[in-house]
Amino acid sequence: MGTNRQPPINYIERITVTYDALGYEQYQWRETDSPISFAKGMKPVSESKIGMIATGGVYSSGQVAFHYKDDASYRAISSSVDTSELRATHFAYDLTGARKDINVVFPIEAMRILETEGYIGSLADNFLTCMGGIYSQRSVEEELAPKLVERCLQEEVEAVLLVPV
Amino acid sequence: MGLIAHQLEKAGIATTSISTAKDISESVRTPRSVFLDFPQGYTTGKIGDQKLAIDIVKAALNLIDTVEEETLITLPYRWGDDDSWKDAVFQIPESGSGATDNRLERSDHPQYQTSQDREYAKEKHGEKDCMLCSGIDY
Repeated sequence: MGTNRQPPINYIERITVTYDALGYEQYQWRETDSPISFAKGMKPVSESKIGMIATGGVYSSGQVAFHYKDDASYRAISSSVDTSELRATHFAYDLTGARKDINVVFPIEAMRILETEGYIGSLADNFLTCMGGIYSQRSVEEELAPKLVERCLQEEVEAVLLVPV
Repeated sequence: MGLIAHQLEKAGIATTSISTAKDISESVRTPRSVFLDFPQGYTTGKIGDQKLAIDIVKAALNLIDTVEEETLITLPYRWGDDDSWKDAVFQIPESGSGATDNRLERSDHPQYQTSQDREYAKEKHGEKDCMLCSGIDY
């Protein structure tokens, strides 16, 4: 039985203390204080085309892999790709699980099953992946995010599942 | 991911997220999120547990159908019988020997999982440095 139950980890506090101990410059965590937007007039998921964006550094064999220094690029991976072609590369998280079963950071099989079961209307032709762990919020805001939005519009998705690591 | 979510919503595309870092999701304010109290690197479950992955993805997608305001719900799943895995996450040893950074060097060269991947990518893309890899043929 659970004897050691702990509340959710306070990552911001722990990372702040760790960076301080390492002598790193403090990271300015994003705090959103303005009202946030919500897309309007959504169709049900069962009638929608659904995309996925994952930040775990996933690429498909044959693609150029991500690098570890503020990589603001993305990869488009066919939603019907053979799962054995998928790889994970990242500087910041333990890749053990992802390399044994990519579905722990990129739930492509769950998405396909939910489409087959009719829970999801249809899947985007391509799912999108990137690195995350980009220090420059400006680079995310002005470079990566607009590129992902543009690609999602091209893919004609109505909603997107976001899978950060 | 919050910045990306906000821009997608503005463009008329609904978003829902799965998070293993509750405080970060609260700080960036992702519009719709489910929080899974699992270690980083296991955002959608455990190795080989397809049913769990489906349940987690469904819980996240369900928010698109059911909520129209900022929402973060905690999923009931547990990583193990206890939460001792949390002890080692970004913890500074009490001995005072200081913190260690376990992350890998932030190189700007592509980091392949296998050397075959490197060869295969080179074969497909030639020697030229592919900056974006965001073309439709990828």
